[in-house]
Amino acid sequence: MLVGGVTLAVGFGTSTLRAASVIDNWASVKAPSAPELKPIQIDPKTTALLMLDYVKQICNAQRYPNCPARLPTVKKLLDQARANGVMVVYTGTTIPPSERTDIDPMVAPTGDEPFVKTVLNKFLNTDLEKILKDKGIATLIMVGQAAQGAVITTGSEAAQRGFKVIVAVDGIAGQDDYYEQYTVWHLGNAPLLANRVTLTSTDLIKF
Amino acid sequence: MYQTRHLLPLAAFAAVLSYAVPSSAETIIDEWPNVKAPPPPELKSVRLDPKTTALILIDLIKQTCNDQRRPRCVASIPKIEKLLAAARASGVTVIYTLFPSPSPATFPNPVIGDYVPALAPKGDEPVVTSFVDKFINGDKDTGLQKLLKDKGITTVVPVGATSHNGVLFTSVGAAFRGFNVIVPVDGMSGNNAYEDQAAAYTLTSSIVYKVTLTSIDMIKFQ
Repeated sequence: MLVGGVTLAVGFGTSTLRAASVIDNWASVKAPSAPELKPIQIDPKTTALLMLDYVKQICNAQRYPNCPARLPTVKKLLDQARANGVMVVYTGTTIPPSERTDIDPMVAPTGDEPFVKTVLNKFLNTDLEKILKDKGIATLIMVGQAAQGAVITTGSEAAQRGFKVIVAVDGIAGQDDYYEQYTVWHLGNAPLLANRVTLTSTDLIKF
Repeated sequence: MYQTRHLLPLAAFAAVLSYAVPSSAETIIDEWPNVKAPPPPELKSVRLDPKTTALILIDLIKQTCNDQRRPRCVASIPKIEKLLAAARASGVTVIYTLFPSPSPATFPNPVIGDYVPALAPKGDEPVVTSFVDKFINGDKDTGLQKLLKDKGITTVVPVGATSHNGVLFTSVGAAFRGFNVIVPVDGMSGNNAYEDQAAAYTLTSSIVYKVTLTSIDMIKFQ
């Protein structure tokens, strides 16, 4: 159910029972070791840079503080991508509503760079796959936010749809560090994804 | 005034410095050992209408739900078995899922007969197949949404493996399709506690969708 929708049709009470689950061991749970970031050489002709939700409604100091802080790093990657003829695709979200014109000026689209809009998984209810495949794109470099939202869902979906996915960890921002950490770990380790996702940083990407 | 004029460039320089810290010092990889888990989410008791509720068993097959591959999954089986029995006794719709093999040459496509025996389907309980989000498989609709709508289902209870893939993404997919989503934390399992923790936190902390976290003994069908 989307937040703001109709009231749940089930009865809820306060938690009083204890279950043997991860909730009981919550404080002792440790994250696995940090993954290794790998240098990567990409083919500009078959690669697209996917700029996820750099819209002012969520890329701001109140909502996702890491987002504005990372814009200069993303801007550098964006400039390199454009200089090498890499396709650039932008996304916006519907919660909250945003448009192409809401993208932060530092990394704003130019010319006819495509823009698609939906919440979370950017392949759902958009032409994103067609836009990419019509241009012969086989590899996606992903940056943006939110880590726990658009990044993890779109990255997972892209891998399932056969794209090679490159995630620049210094270009993603989440609601908190826990989310960023988990998103990185998930995309690099989850079943099916581990063989299709490369974790890297912007300075390790060579065009 | 003199001091102010001379401090302004310094302030500007400091601002530039603070914004231009090398990216390598700012990534989550650098912060990895220092990341703290958020507080645990609260589990809530639920009463569900059997006529409008579906229990979805996700990918609980012997190839992956075994002591060698995923002991946390094995540990969840008796609890899910109890929930399944209660659901069937109350007339709750039960739906099974499978996943297609990512490499059929080395890992044959799972079939419904691969379900762990304690949780095997009965009669004509339906099966849908997809990788992660059981509502879609790539660009194809699995038919799960229609299956649920045709039966008048408004609430789904996903359980199974893995917590951070099939359960998490199907739950989110269901929430976005307008279903009430109830996830028993002891009915989902990943490869380790970290995956279960992250799934529980993700399910309950979103600002764009709502999922209710509970435990199997806190679910009542009535």
